[in-house]
Amino acid sequence: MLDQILVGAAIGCLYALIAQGFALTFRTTHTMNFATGEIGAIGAFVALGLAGVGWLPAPAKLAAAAIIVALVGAVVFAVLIRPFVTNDGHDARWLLVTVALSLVAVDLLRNSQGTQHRPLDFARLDGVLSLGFAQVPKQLALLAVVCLALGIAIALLVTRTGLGVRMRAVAEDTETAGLVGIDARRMGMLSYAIGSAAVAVGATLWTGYVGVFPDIGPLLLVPAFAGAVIGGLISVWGALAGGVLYGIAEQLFAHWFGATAGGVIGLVAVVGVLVLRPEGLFARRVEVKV
Amino acid sequence: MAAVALPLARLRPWAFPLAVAVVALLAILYTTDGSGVRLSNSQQIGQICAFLVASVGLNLLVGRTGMHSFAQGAFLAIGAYTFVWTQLTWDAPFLVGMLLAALVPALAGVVIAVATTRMRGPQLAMVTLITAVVVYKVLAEWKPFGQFGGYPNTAAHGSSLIEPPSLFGWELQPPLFGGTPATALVPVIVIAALSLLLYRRVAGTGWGLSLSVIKQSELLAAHLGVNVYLRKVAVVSFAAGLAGLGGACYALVFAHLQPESFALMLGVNLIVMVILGGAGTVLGPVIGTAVIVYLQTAPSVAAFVRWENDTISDRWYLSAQGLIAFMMIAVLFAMPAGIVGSAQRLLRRRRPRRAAIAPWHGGEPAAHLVAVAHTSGESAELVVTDVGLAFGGVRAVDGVSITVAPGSIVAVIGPNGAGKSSVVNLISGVYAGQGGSMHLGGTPLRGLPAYRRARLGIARTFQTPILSPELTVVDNVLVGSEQTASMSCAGAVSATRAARRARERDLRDVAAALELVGLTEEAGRTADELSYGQQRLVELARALVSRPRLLVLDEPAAGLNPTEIAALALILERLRDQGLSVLLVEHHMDLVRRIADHVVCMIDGRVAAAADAHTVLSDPLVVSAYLGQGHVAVAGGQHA
Repeated sequence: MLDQILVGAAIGCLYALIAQGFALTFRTTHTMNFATGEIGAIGAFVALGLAGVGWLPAPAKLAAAAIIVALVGAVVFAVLIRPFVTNDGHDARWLLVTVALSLVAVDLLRNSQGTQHRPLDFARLDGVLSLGFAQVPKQLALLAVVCLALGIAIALLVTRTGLGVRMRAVAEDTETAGLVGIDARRMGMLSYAIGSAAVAVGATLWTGYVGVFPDIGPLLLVPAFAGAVIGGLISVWGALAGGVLYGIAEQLFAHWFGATAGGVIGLVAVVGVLVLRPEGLFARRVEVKV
Repeated sequence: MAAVALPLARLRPWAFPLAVAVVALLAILYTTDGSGVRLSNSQQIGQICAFLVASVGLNLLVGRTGMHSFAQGAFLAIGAYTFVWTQLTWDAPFLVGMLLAALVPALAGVVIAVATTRMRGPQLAMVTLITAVVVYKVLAEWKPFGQFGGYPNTAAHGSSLIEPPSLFGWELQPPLFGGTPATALVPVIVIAALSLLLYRRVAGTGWGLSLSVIKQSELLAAHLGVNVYLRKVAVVSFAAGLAGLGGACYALVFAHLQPESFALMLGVNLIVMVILGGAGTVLGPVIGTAVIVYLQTAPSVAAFVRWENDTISDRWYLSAQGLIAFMMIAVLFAMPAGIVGSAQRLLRRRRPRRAAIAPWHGGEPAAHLVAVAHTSGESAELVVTDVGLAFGGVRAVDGVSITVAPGSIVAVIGPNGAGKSSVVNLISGVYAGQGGSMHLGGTPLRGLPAYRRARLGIARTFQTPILSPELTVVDNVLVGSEQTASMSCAGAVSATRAARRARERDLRDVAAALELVGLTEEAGRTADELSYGQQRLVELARALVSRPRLLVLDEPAAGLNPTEIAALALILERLRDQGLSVLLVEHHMDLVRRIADHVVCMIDGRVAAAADAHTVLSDPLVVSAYLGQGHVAVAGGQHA
């Protein structure tokens, strides 16, 4: 069972990183990209395409994939999401657009790349890491370490730097932020770029373990979103913790009750959290003024 | 008895049902003749009808209430699997199977709604997205449902098709075999036609109007007496039930279920059907569903994909599903009102709407409106004693007491930030507040949510008017009537004679209120065509048709020109003379001096002075609060 917990925690770190991308864009723009899983898939395919460039070291290939995907993320925000950013909380058109985008992206990837799993032949560690009391595949250990490091870096960036303060200002009140010279559009694009790049790195390392294929999106979307909701949607630290928790719960439930239960636990957890503590486990309740 | 006619419908009342019945009959005649050539067309028609039932339900959510749900496809799947399960495991009678197919998803809808409706905004869409993914996962991976072998499947159930259920001794045959009349399509087409009629009826009732109000503003809905939480649960559950019924229809058409048909894409397709056709319109889902089902199966799409391959690339192209998703993005950008919605707009521009209500001819309208309010008999005195409100460490309201006697106008004045609006919000129930007590006609208000206070007879207007811009003046006022607040979902569906009579009464009240505020001429215009001053009067009229015992107005004169202010003063005086209690927050001292029987001046959250208008307005404390210390020194408090 310790093995399951470790594997769950390792994959949970990937969920956590993506959840944090959700929290990052949600607190800056009140939107998030439901094509995030496909953003990850694009990153993995770009990395696969770069695999042939022999002289480039693996970390540089990863970084190149991340930069390309960051641009994609920023463009997606500027072109598809930003036109639908309004003050009306009921307006969910941005969500419809991103879900539709994910389906377009999957369709394009399937048609152009085929549906088979292809091995990613760099950024891979073979073998198993033995910790004495439990074992975990080395690739997952690498995934966990990189995702956690990136996640902590993003959380620090958002909570401790001037850039993070400006992002929070945009989230708090876009107009006032504009009056003091903060460009809301640029902040939104930046948050999407950072979130997308992080997803690309995490997803690529993960495909080193499971292979590259177009349909990885749905596998990542639900756990990451569930992690973000559990953590509270606007808390970058909460999302990190929520993602890891979700990963462990998923593995344990799949271990005890079968794979289907591992998938269902996400919905149960999200519904439970929303009913009992709508602001999330790790976020503070916000008073709404009329 | 004054001559108040029913709203002049643009069509005869029977025209729409007749048209639906004719189309349904033609479809039935076409599909049940049993010739093999029509099989694929019959399947298409059956599929359109099954999805139509679900998209009509979704239209209530997306179009009326402004709640986006991806789970409609999942609810459809739950209904379909429930129906097949009842047929396979205990060979249930057809009608029992249909009933369960509607009930099980409706209950699932309650769970989802309870979990999400307390939150505003896109949370429902997000959670329903997860629901759709998870339900698909369960259907695809859970052994009893045959996984990718389908349900039923030969290995586990001996046949890959359900036995044709029988209805009144009739075998309901699916449109799968040439030579056998596709009798299963009869109930499917009838259910689709009925669901369309049901939507049209429900949307026109007070219950349906209240959904539009929730879409516009939940705050407003609560202040009209709508229990927003329950109503959202009801509408999600109602829509899920319709989806389940659609699922049962789907199972009747194909007699077999494959999990792949119920992936997230189905939920997305249903939303596209509603939005492409025209969210919130009656016919939108019909057009949208027909277009999407056609696109999924039509040979022209295959031809289009070939064209893509030839001209663009044989690798980078979109197939049917990608094209539908792409279309959704295009529609959201280029045609947000959808096909039917855009067509309606064009028509309306060419042919302006006529007034939808007969003008008032019944004597003093204020007497009508307020007399109605006083039939309840009890006194409507508002007594607020020693209430407080703190935001964090700031005490916005500190030990304030106000009494409003029936037939009097009490004005609350004070500089900006004095806590006037907070007092209004405490009384109407936006904030809970701390300490003290509040009573209306002896009934304690403390602890009651806003919608309960509205039902007790507190009506209010807002600092910035909240109106539905696309609704007519009549509809905007009508939502204030009691039926919006109290009608149940069941009441909306059954539409009894009593409900119809109540509606006639409500329209009479609307006519009276419009006459009182002087907007009879504008009754048929949409709210966004009105001037700001007129919009404020529409809000006042809406507050009046709720038959209030206490009218609370938050800066009603702000933004009005002097003529309009004079008219407003006259209206309020007429209401006061009929015995209505009015509480008024105001900055216009001319208005206050003219109409207020009693004036309360608040400074820094406390009551600084309370007496008749002249005394308060010449109080040096009040003058200095408004004009500063220096003014008092120079003018010696002579001038207010």
